Amino acid sequence: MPANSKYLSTSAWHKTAKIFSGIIGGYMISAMLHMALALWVPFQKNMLITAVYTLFVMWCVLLIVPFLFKNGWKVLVVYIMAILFLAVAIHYGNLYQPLN
Amino acid sequence: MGKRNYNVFFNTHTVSGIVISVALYVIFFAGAFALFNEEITQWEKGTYLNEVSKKEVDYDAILVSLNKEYHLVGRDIVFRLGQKGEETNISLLPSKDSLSPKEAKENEYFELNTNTHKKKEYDEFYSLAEFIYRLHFFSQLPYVGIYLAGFVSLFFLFAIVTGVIVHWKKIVSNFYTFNPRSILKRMWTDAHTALGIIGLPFQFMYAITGAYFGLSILVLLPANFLYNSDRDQLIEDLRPELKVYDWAAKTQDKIPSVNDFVVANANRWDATTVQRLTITNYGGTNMKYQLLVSQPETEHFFGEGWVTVDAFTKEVVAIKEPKEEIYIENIQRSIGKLHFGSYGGVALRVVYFILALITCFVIITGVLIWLEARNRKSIPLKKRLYTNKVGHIYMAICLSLYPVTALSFLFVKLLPQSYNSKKQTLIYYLFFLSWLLASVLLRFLRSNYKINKITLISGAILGFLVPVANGIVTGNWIWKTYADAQYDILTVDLLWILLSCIAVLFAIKVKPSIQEKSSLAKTPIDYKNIAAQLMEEESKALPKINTKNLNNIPMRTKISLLWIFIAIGFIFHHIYGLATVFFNESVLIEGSTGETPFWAHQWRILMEGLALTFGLLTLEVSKKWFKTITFVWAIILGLFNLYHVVTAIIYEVFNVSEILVLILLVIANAFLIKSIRQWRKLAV
Repeated sequence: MPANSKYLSTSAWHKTAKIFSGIIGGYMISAMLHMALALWVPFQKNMLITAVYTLFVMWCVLLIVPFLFKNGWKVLVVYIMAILFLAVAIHYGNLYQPLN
Repeated sequence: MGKRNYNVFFNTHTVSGIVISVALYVIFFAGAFALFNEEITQWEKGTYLNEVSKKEVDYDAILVSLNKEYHLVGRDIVFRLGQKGEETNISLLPSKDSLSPKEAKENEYFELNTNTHKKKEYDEFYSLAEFIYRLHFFSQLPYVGIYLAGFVSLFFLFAIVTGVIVHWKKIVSNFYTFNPRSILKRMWTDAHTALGIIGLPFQFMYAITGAYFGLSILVLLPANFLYNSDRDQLIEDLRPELKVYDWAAKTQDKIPSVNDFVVANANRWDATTVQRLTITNYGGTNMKYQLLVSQPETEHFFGEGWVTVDAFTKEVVAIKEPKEEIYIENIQRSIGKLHFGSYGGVALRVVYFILALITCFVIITGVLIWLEARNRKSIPLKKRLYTNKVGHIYMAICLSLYPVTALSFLFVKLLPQSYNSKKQTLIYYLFFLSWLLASVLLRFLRSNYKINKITLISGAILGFLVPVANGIVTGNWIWKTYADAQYDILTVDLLWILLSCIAVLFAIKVKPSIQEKSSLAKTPIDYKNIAAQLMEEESKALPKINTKNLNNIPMRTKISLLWIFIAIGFIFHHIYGLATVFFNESVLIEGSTGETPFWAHQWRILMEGLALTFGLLTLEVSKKWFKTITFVWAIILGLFNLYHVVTAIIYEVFNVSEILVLILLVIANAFLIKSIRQWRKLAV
């Protein structure tokens, strides 16, 4: 029983967008979320080192999420927005509560 | 879960699973044996273990003899004392003293017998155990192997999670429906889900820890960014025992005794074993001694303690007691403990071993479901041929690993001692060539039943011979090693006997009649008349309407252009390499004589030479053999180009223009492979 192909996305562009967002975007979001959290929570270094486990778990979740969407471009936009938001959080985190 | 999501997840589970299956099988199979790394090393040496306390070793004498050979001043010296017996691995780091001779600026790594002071370089103590351990993370593929293993691990995690999502509703019921007498597809599916669920915690743990070991660079990257690339500070915070102490100046004083330091500190805490002795800045005014010890898990699960002492003032510089719970250190230690199964003795590692083999079985059944589900009449013969071919290749590669491993164990036992320094090369040749040969031969049997049977029986025979060969060559028969309490050697022999027994049992249990339950029995493929059947199938299909497409480039023009594009790409690559002259880089390669050496000709011919040749010949030749040759070369070149991009990104990420050219080459190569493939089909 191979998966019923009528439910699968057929456009190579949509597929590429999903896989690309999942692999590259997923890693960036996961890594940046850990950075942002490490800056903003009180137990900074503990947060940072927890990434040895959670970085990959989160990355895996973010690899799966794009397949819930029908439109691959939408995922890409959502992921880019998340990355921009996290970049801002990290920037201000570095200004106001740098790692010490 | 909606129908759409179910099907989407099902598809992602299938695709990710099939793509990583072979690599993952190799990882788990080699990993199962790597769990017994130390035992296999001891088995291979064949000499009895001489248990010594690392607390009573004469380190001062060793340092004196090493100093004569290596000029130790300014170096950091690391004794790895974790393994049993008299052998210890020693690393000498490059000297930090600018006045040291040139030889002292090299890294050194070797094995030393702490009693006899007999030294063995890496290629002298290279062993099958090391080979299997390295095969576990594809270290035989230079530079990229470990990252490849890391990504396989990540996608394994992906496959596990999507697998659980897909099977979620059936998890409980499938446990009770397992029926080995039903049709094969049903049986594979039930075994896949039931064993997948039983092994789930184990597999999930391995997917995560494996991803960490392969891709730890990706965990370090964000940390490095937050630390503003201050590596020393990062290490001091996350791995305080590795804190860097800068070199100050050479001392004229006598070097204080290391033995006294070890004796004084080894029993600082109860029930400890010495794991590592580090001497930092040897012969410097700020020389430090550090001892790292561990406590048994029963005492304290993460029981690791260390103490750093200033060699001259005897003052304690830094200390961590084993009972101190530090989150940052424990979480890192937990990964290693979980991954290597080093927290419950041999019994735990046997459990790990069995679970690893069960995971291999889950991977194989996954591939078999995939095959069974695609052997239906409604699927075109051409597609079925392809899936079956892939299936046979996968099965041949995976299943032949068992007899090949057994053969390698026999080989290292029967290899005369005089070949020890060439052992690495010989193991490479034996292992990879016999694996390749077995895979190719088995693949053309075109029957998974036969592949399974042959590998099980040949593996069992070779496996039974392993303890016998060991007994004949070294005299370490199992009853003797048992009586003499040499449990390391005994474990390996027993492991092979156990494995062979299981293999024989399965080989007997699997009867030829089982093949009738395969979907292939209902709709068999007649390999003898393949060509005729394919023709028939094609003629049935509607004739294609041949519309004139004005956007079309004729196939051969396209291929020729792509070859020439690749040649030009290589030329640019060389020019960029040369262009560093303008930016004041010395261009002379050491040992240059003014003549082009042979290796350079070789690369020129293989790369742009052949590309230009094929570009030219494509304009005139369109024979079948020519298409095949160019197709094969295009694929090899494609793999090479891909490898080239990856290494360039790893080693010179800022050389953007070069990377662009290399990426373009990969894209052109992909187009080329695609076009030649179409070209080959046109003729039929």
